[in-house]
Amino acid sequence: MKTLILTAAIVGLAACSSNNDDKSDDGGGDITMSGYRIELTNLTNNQHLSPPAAILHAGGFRAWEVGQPASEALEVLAEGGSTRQLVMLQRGSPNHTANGELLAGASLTFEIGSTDPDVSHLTVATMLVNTNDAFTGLTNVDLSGMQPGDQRVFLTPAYDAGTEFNDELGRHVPGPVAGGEGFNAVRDDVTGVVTHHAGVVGKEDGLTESALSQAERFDNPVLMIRIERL
Amino acid sequence: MKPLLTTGLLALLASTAVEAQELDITITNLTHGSHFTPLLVAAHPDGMHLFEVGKPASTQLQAMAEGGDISGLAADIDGAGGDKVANPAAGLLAPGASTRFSLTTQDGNDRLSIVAMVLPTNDGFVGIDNLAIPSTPGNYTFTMNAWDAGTEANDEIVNGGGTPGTPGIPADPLGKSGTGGSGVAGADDNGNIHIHRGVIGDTDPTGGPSDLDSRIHRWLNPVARLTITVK
Repeated sequence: MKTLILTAAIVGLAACSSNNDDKSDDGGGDITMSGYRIELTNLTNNQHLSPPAAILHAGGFRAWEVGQPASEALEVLAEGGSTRQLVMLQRGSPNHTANGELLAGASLTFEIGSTDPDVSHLTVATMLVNTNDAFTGLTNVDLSGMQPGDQRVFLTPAYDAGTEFNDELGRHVPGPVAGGEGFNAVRDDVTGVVTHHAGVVGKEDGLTESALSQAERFDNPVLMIRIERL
Repeated sequence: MKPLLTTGLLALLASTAVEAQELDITITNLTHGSHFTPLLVAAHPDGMHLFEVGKPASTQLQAMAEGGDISGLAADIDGAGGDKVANPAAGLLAPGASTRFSLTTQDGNDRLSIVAMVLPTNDGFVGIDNLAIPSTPGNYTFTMNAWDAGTEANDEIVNGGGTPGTPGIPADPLGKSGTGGSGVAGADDNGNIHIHRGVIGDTDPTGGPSDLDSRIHRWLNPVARLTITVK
């Protein structure tokens, strides 16, 4: 298997994540790791995505599961856009959070890696900011079967955290279109568990009190995730 | 020569046919506010269908799509020598909920079909038609869309109507529907089975065009996830 000497920035992330017995094959004190280049593309018309976070972790961590109530960390992301608590759920795992929002139509690329062969599962999460509590991403995807040069592409649906009623009222939607409140600990959704999102209705489609317009409507998928094993 | 040829042909067929299988199946309702009525899950020979996209619904399919009654389709499966699991969730499958069960298939029943009504709709259903069952051991994930049976006007009026030919929606299991709707739509333009165009809804609990709520009862495809474990 190909080994990589990664950049200082990524070695720094990995170095604080684990102490292990992986040996560098050039004996120079560098770290051998499995690295991935990840490209995210926002497929929506006008749903900016909050700064996306990626976590490389051991198998078994699920940031969400359809049919289960959202964790508070997921609720914080889905209602307000911050991934900070979600990343802390896997404290010590290599992670990357973008510096800014991923605008509709835009792409961003970053690299993530680990020296620990067990740290081979990927979670990516981000909020659709012009919604009450929609998010998208992947969780607990096993990358261990990928060989250097391999690529995988995922097209991800919009999920609903099940924590906030989709009233589309301006005071409850935090993105730039409405500028309302983000996270609120009250849970008032009709279902109370993570599901797929039903989409934005918008004021042109009869929801006259909606702060959202036809421009914020979306269909699945909403995000393309391209993963390349380095 | 001819008997030998026949034997060779039979051997060839046998080597490509899927033999009896023990499948573990999980079906997840991915919608945010719609229930599924009792599911019918069936393995059957290639060429047998519970529904075919682009063709008219059978009366049995209509009974399922308008009122959740799978008895007619279950009898069709039995008549075709198929293997079935009827109502694995023991009732409604709630938004986000999953049902897990086993399906034992006999030789030659190498296709899978699934149907259930999406409630509340007039004649919407979730389903998959004639899926080739994988034979190599492993986990396989598929998604399913919402279809319109093409048999009933999508008026979105919740009046208890679930019998074929009776307009209206039987019920909203979430208890979030209204009353007094004037009716969203007349008869379908497409009378064949087609992709459901979704629910309109409104936010007027005692009037407006629809008894459904536009913030609660809509969905985007896919509406269900299907996982098959081949042992």
